[in-house]
Amino acid sequence: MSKGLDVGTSFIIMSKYNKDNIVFKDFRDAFYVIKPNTPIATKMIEKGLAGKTFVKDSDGSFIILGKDAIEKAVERNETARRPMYRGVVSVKEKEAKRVLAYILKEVVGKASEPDEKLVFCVPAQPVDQEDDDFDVGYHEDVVKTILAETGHDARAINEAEALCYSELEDTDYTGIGISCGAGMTNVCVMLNGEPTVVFSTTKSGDWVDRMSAVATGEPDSVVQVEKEGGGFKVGEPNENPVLNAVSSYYERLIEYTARQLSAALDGHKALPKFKDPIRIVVAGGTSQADGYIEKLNEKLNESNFPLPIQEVKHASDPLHAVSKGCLIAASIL
Amino acid sequence: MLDQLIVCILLLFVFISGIVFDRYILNNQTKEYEKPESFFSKQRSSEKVYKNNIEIDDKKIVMGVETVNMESKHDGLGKTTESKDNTQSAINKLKSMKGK
Repeated sequence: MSKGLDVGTSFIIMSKYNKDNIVFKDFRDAFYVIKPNTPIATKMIEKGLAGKTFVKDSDGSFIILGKDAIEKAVERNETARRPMYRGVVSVKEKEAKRVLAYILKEVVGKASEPDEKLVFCVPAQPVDQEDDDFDVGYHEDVVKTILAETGHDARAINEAEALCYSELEDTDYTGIGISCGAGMTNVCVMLNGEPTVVFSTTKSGDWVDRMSAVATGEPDSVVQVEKEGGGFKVGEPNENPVLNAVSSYYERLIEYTARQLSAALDGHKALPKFKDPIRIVVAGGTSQADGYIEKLNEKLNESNFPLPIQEVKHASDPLHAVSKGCLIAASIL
Repeated sequence: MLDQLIVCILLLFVFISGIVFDRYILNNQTKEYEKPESFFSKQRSSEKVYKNNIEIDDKKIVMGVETVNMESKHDGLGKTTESKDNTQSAINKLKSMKGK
């Protein structure tokens, strides 16, 4: 048996086989802490959290997890916290590692056999930011340590490489995979199953939330909830001010991504000379906005993309594609 | 005889100019880049690597991932969905491409 794991900034997604099916388990990567001041408050809060997903910590505080954390934060006009920031374990959050460890252990479960193979994804080095906090090696070690406790033999794979293994079978694993997560956009150029160029950019869905929140004066969590509710098309005006901002910033994000992609690949030494126009496959939660793929295609053409494009295609299951790629990789080990 | 010598010198000059042009001008225009290694090659090569220079491991150590004090107040975590397994042909194709 083997498992795939997409350790994302916004979602943790585990995949495994169950007879003729693939089982996906998704959990929202967010938490919100309530620290009661008195024993009476403790009892009241615990009663109020009935039915919610939460844990009680040793210092008496309540850590609400997942979707419930976002709902509680919105209720209090605040922003939920994240154990991950821009694709790696957050160094800004004191509780990040413990919360991430708890979520991962619960979602992945115990290994079904000793040293069960598990492949999890990690981001590539960003091209648009030099940041000491961005330490993929440390992030990889943290996740491996956590998964070793559950009895897994865990290995890391580049996020966009996993996407290519999931979606480029019918082009003999030749093309480009773009994984648009919450924290980062990861890119892999693949030729016959071999990654030739991998990189990431640090602007994605969270940037849209942040910028829209600043523009409208709403907390990030409120913007995130509105955005995920849909009801807007990328680049088109909207009557709802939050969605109007989201739509505008989405267009800017796509333009930025297309320009970064073109600039990073233009004149790149390792870029293969493809004999045919290539397929670009796009996945990730951020790519699920209405009009994202069409706009990306348009912006790539405008930004003098250095390779002839056959098509820009959405993955068949955009939210689960990376996890599925990790599962495929784990099955080959 | 002199004509042939001049032609030879000219050809030599053009040849050397080509090398200088490639090394110092063309190379400056392309980006420095280290080719990424595929996930599968990494797995194969990880045990074969031998370093003869001794280095201290100064990577940040992992601490603070204990969860024993976190008392669970919920049923299972995560929403489960199932879909038909369509990965077997991809696995077989990749196995043959990677020589597994």
